[in-house]
Order: sequence, then structure tokens, then C-alpha cells
Amino acid sequence: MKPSQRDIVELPFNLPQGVENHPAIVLSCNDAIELESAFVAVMVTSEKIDDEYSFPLIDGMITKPMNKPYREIRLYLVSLFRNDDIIPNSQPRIRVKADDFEIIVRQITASAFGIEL
Amino acid sequence: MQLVSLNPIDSSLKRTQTAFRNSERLLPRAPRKSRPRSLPLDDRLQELQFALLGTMVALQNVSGELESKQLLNDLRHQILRFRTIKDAIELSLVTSEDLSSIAKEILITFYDLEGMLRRKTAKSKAKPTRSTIIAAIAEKSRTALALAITRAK
Repeated sequence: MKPSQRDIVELPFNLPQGVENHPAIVLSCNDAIELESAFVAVMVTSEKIDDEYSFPLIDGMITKPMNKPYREIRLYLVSLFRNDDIIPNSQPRIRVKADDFEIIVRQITASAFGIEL
Repeated sequence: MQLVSLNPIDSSLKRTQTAFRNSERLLPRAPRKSRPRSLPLDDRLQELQFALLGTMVALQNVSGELESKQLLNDLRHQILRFRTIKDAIELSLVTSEDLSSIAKEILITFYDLEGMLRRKTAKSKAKPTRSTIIAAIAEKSRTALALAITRAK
């Protein structure tokens, strides 16, 4: 499955406690995905931590509501995946809205990399 | 006490909503030539942007973890309310692209402020120093003010 930038897909994240499946937002631009058959994505979780690196993902930011009452983007958990790593599910295609994607990338840059755009 | 500093944004949002309703009522019926050159909503959005700058400056006086956390929660509430206005602007046929881009920039500024407060709240738990965040807020305020002045000319 070839994703597009801003898609929300299910991915296996290699975390310190082991591999866990989580939704994630595809960050790579479509040309890069086409070139490498791989992409970088940032992890989304329903666990409420609300710390420096937790950015709430609300329904207004996405094209269709997700089936979780609360979600946070873990701003520093950005990882590389192959297109084949995407876990198929029966969920309809959900995307982040363009303006909100820009805001999320700014938040990642500021919080995870310490650079204010 | 510092939470009072959010009141200008709150009242500005109310005025923005009223202006939006007014512009929606008036503009579709008016012939194109008689439409006002500057939409009331445009003016309210500019006001909101300046109110936001005022809040940034006021935040320099905020101290204490509890106060910061409360301020962060209040700001997130304001963001949700502003998002509904932004959505209404985008759905409306009477507004211009300029208006949408102003709303987008205000929303980005809101979230930048949210990020600063989020990091401030986290840092206040680990290390009780405010100098870094105050410097960041001041810099952000200066940049946004310069942008607003440039656009106003």
C-alpha cells in the first residue's frame, strides 16, 4: 500500500518496551515516498500523557473522526517505515487537514528538534 | 490574576463572530460594486491578532506551575473556539482568500503560543527558570507585530 502525505495509517513502532502498533501521520512528501517506497511518520497514541511532547489531535484536524475519544501526537516519535510496513485495517481513509498538518510539523520541529520556524 | 489577560481574546472572538454574522447577512444581497472594500470580519481578525500579541506579552508575568497549567488549559479552550470561526470562514462564500490566510496565521500563532506554554509547563516541573521561554515569547511577539504592521501599511 502506498500512502500519501497527511494520511493516518497503522504502523508497528519499535519502542523501548517492544514493538507496538499505533496510528501514525505520514510526514514525507509524495515525491519522496514514490522515490524510496518508504516514508517517515509520527506516532499517535490514545494514552494521555500531556507533557512537553504531547500535542492533542482533535477531530477538527482530521477529515473523518477516529474511533478513539482522545489522541495525542507524540512529537518526538518520528520513524522511518517501508510502504509494506503499513498494517491493513477496515478503517476508511483518514487524513489530516492541510493547515493542521502545517501546524503539526511546526510543533514537531519546535518540540522534538528545538527549532522555531 | 494573570488569567484576566485572556479576556481581550475572548471578547475579540465574540466580536468576530458578530461581525461574521453581519457580513454574512449583508454581503450576498449587495451588488458587487457596493460591497465594502474592507470586511468587518477582516478588521476583527486584525484586532484578534493584536490581542494575541498582548496576551503573549502578559504571559511574561505568569509564574508558578499551577498558573501556567491553568493558562494552557484556557488557551486550548480558546483555540477550539477560534477553530470554529476559522471553519466558518472557509465554508463561507462571501469571504476572500486573504481572510482565510489571516485566520490561518492567527491559528498558527495560537498553536505556537500553546507549544511555548506546553514547554514552559514541562520545564517548570524540571527546572524553575523562565528566562528561555520569556525570551522566546518576546521574540515571537516582535516578529508577529512586525508582520502585522507590514500588512497594515
